[in-house]
Formats: sequence, structure tokens, C-alpha cells
Amino acid sequence: MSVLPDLVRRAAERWPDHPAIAMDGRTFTYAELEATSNRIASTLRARGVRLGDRVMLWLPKSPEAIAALYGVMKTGAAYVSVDPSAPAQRACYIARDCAAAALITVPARAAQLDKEFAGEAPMRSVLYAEPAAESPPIAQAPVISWAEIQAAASGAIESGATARNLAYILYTSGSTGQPKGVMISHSASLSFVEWAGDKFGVSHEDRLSNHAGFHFDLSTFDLYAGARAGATVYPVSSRIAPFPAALAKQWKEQQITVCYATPSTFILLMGRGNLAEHGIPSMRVLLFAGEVFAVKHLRQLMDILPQARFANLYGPTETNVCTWYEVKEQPADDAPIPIGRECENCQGFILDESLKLLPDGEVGELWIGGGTLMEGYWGREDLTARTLRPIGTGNGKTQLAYKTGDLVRRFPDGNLRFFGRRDHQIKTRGYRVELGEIEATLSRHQAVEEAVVVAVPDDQFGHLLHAVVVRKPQASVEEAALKGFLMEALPVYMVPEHIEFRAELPHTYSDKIDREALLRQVMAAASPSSR
Amino acid sequence: MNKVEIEEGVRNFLINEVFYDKALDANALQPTDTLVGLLDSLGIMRVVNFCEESFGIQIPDTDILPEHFETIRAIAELIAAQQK
Repeated sequence: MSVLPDLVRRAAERWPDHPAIAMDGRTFTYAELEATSNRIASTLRARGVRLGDRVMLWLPKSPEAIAALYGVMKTGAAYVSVDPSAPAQRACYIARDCAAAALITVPARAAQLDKEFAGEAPMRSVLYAEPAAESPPIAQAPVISWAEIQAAASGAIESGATARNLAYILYTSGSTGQPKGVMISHSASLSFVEWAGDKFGVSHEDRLSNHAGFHFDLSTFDLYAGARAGATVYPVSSRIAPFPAALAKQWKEQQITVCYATPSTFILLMGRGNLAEHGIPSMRVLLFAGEVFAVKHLRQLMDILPQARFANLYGPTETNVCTWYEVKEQPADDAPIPIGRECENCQGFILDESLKLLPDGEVGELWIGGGTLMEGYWGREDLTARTLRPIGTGNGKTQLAYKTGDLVRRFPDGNLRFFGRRDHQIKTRGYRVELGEIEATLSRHQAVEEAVVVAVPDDQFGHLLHAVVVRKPQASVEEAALKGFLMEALPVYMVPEHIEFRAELPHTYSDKIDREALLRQVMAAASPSSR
Repeated sequence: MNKVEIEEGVRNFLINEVFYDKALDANALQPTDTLVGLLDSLGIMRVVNFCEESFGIQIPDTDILPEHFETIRAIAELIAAQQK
């Protein structure tokens, strides 16, 4: 395999009639997925999309949306999938930032996009990946209906892409106030997919649930390890996803065998989804990532699904999964489980602040090298140079590695354990969030003098966000208005649960904002004993 | 409290505590407008907590299903059913 679309082409040759995608009572076989993605590729190519371009997708999950991901890659372009629940302002920022050559969306988004682009769409064409009666125009860009796409040629086109070309760009929260695009090549993605597919024995008889959105790196396992094996992928629709009871029931009916999701998802399924009652006897592999899985909940999950394999996968979007830890027995104590050892295609290095290798047993920053690394940040050469650089790995050798910002320690058994962050990046509901991006957005409000966001640890959601705001003199703004302002620009998981107004913020002796004191104050005020 | 009053209570909560001023348009969030895709799992739990605290009911986990949260009307019907 050299590029991701090869996975579907090969599966379509070996298992043409096997279901590739099953969702809401509809099925695409591998032959249908191959033909539909070829039609999308032909349509895009006819509109000038070529090797090296970017095509943005902003649409809910559907079989057509998955065909669109492959269709984009079959032109040699990289796909840029944006959270379907993100505000239009953010989607349009990303479209402009990545200079998208085309946009793939659904007619229901037309009015929002038209308004946000203010009559001037930055892309050459818009494709509607949904059978619909109408194809409304968007900011004067040429619009192509699903019916027109269906009429395009179903044969493969030559993309010219090699393993080193970009497959996709995933936008993640950025500390300077705008999201940043992580560029992943076919080679890096396949390196992870092949490792994971082999490690967990994914076969064409498997049924993989796809819980994560296509803008989230967890989805690449579901889609591509599934296609590599000729397995069936069951995307969870946005109608079902927020409802644990419905999701647990659906997993049982679909006889899901492999699932990769955040601990928050599993905790909700146990707490509100009656997972214990449903059982899911078919489940054989359960993978989790994105945040620390509180051991008391993990034990509960292992009790409910005693037949399944459990593994903690670790890795920032920039490195794909780079370490893993299989939980073979229930943890004896409540200490967080390790992030494990490096995957065979990755190397981990623990460095001090002067980039010197630290001996095992000392806490330092984890740098990751190997085949799964990103190519860099789109249009952010400065940031790429700071975080992706050659480091000394001993014996006079150097290797390109990514600075994760995570503090870790290697234990005598070889496993790495997570000890916190160097910066203000946190996880909530499995999403990684730069508190600085929320603070920068808050600061853009005309009534805000100063704003700080703290992350309050939460067993179920990883963290809950709490903002403390100092208003400008004589300015007046209330919590609801400020939250509304944030929701225009940020995804809902980045909007703080609480916004508190204060006359001033606590400062350290060196006159920096004392974030630790603020967090202690917020947690003390929220604790039951203080009520 | 009749059904219209329950619907108004749920609508006010969604506007003021979930969607904020995004929905302040007088015509926004009508009882039959779809809520699908607008609420994530944390949002659903907040709506459930609001319904339980404001209307003195207990919504069983088995009733926290998409069909009961697709519209404000569906939520109001769920509340009314639990009150009986």
C-alpha cells in the first residue's frame, strides 16, 4: 500500500459485495464505495482539483461523506474535515486558512456558508454530498449536486500521489487564538493503520463502530484499519451519538466487535446507557485514547466486558498513536494506568529543557520520532520549526522528533507514565484544547479587559472549563452574552461551563496571573463542602 | 403547568443556558424545530438535569433517547409523561 485509497481499491477487488459502511439502515458495499469515491474524484478533477490541493469537508457523517474522503484523496488532494457542529465562522476560517480548492458539504449548510463568506467564496467549487431536491448556491461558487456527481465516470483516475503526499489536515486548537492544521501524509497514516490493524487483529469479519468525527484523529483507525481488513464500519450518527442508551442498544444490535473511543464515551455508556444490561457479547477489542481513563471506571468496564481486550493508546494528532499499553488485568490500585511502550514504528525520547536525554526514571518531556510523524503545521513554518526538529538520540546520532509537551517518566518495566503538561493544553471530552485559544477569543470581546480559563478536573469529561473575566471599566456584559459570543467562534466543547466575573485576578510575585491559585479557588468554590 | 408552559420553560432554558444569544431571534427554536446535531452528550445531560430539577420528575436513563429530545415538543411530552 502506498496511499490510503489503495485500501478501498484492494478491498473492493477482494470483497466487492461485503458491506464497507452501514449506517441508519443504509449500506455501501466495497464495490459501491470504490465506485462512488471514483465519481467524486472525477467530479473534483473536472473542476480542477489536483495533486497537492486541499478540499474541505463540512458535513454530518454519512456513507457519502466517507466516499468523499476517499474521493478527495483519489485526486491527489488532502482532505480537511471540519467538525460538523463547529460554528460557520470557524469552518470558514479553516477554508480560507488552508486555501481550499473545493468544499464538500450539504444543502442545509448553504445559508450559513453564504452569510459567512459574504458573497465571496474562496474556493473554485462546492459539491453537495447528499441526495437532495435542491442545490442552493453559496457565495457565487459553482455548485455541483449529488445527482451530477452520480452521473460522473466511476472509473479510477490517476492521482499522481505517493506515500509522501498529504492525505489529510486535521485542525486542532491553537494557543494563539486560531486553530492550526496538522498535516499528515499517507505514509504516516498508513504506518499507524498497519500497526494497529495487525496489533489488534482486525479482519474482514470485524464490525467497527466509528464514534469519533472525521475531524478527530481517532476516526482514522476506524475508517482505514477497517478498510484495510475489508471490515464493516458503522458510523454513529449525530442523532444517536449524544444518547448513551441508544448507542449501547445500537452496538448490541450491530454486534460491534471493535470500538475505539474516548474514556468519556465509555463512562457515559456505563453511567447512563445501561451498558451492563446490554453486555455487547460480540465486543472483542476496546481501545481508548484522548484522556486519562479513571481506574475506577476502567475496572467497571472490564467487569462488564470480560471477554474483550483493552488497550490505552497514546499520541498527539501530530504523531498518530505512538505508545500503547494493553490492560491485561484489572489494575490493583487507583494509580493512573501507563501510556505504555512505544509502538514498533515509533521511538520515544525523554529530554530535559536543554534537550539532553534523561536517564530512565527521571521526569522529562516526551519527544517522538518515527514513521507516524506529521509533516508540519499548515502555513506555520515557525511553529513547525519549534516543535518538529532534530534531536540528539545518543552516540552522536540525531533524529527528527516531535515535542509533545507531555511530561513523562519511564518505569523499570519499560512503560511510560504521564505526569502532566508543560503548557496550558488540556483535554475535555477527549478533545484537546488550548486554554489560550479560548482566552484569546474572550479577549476579542469589547467589554473584556482580561480573561483566564482554568480546567477543573472531572472524572467523567476529563476537565470542565471555567473562565474568570475582568470587565473593562464601565463596560457591562453578562455570562450568557459572553457565552453566545464564544459560540459564534468556537466549538461547543471549548465554551466554558461557567464564566465568572471578578474585579481582578490573582497574581504571583512576578506579576503573572496565578493560574494555580485561581484553579484552587474555583475548585474550592465548586466543592460540595463550600455550598 | 400545561404543555405550552412546559414548552416555554424548556425553550427559555435552551436559549438562556445552552445556546445563549444565538437563538434570541423571536422565531428561533419553535416547538417543532429540530434539535438534532445541536446538543452534544454534555448538553443532553444539562437538559435532563434541568427537566428533573424544574419539573420535579425523574427521567430514567432508558428514556434518554433521541426521539425524546428531537424537538422542544418531544421534550415537553417526555416531561408530561413523567409527571403522570
